[in-house]
Amino acid sequence: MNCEKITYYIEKGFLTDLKISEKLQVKLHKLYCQCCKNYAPDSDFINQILVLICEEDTSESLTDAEKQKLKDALQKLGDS
Amino acid sequence: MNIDTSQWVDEYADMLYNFAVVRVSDSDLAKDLVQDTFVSALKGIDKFQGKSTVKTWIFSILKRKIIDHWRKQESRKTKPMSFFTTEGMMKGKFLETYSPKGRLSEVEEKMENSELRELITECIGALPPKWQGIVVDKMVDEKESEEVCNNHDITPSNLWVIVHRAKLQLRDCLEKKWFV
Repeated sequence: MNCEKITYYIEKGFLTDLKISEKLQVKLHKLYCQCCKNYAPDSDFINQILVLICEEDTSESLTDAEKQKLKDALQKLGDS
Repeated sequence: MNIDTSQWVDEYADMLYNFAVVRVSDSDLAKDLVQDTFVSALKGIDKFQGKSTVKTWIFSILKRKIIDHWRKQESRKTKPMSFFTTEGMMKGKFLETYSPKGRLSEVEEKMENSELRELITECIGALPPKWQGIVVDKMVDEKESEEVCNNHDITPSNLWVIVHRAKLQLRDCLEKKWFV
């Protein structure tokens, strides 16, 4: 009963090809372990929603004062 | 050459800042990187040959700076959370409090993408800093593993271990935030 190892294989499987023996261990383990059986779709779901992070690009913005500071710094650099 | 750097700031500063802040997860550092990027762009303007757009060019400078930051970060400072039993016959079994309930995908039906985005961003923010950059680089930007390893100065097996640890923590964070 090594869920730590099995979940590691599940994650590794998203990143690279697993060895046959690793695949087999995952399959067998999931037959009797509900936790790991639940883990796999959860993990896949996280992969799917992670890409949402980049969808909206300007959720936060710099303040006008911060922008002015940037402008001044660049202006000074440009003049010198 | 006469360059309107104020226009650069108006057009690109927010975009650059948002790009940087999710990747370095430190707003002050992100602001510094944005300023450094503009400074490098201005200094290197002679090298800009107009082969790409100004936006692409400026972003490429920022990306380089983010990678430089990542490579400097230590990876082994944080002790990872344990989700498993560490002793006895059942060593390696999910601890009761962390056992996956398998209900995470229900979240998608009940939540707007914007809420979901906020939730996952919050959970990423709770990861150790070094892992945050790696997770975003690999899982959000979906880069090849080889490039990610190179960007963060880690080996492929480091990457697998870190992604495993990070995903365990993210999964638990999402489940607890949503269902408790």
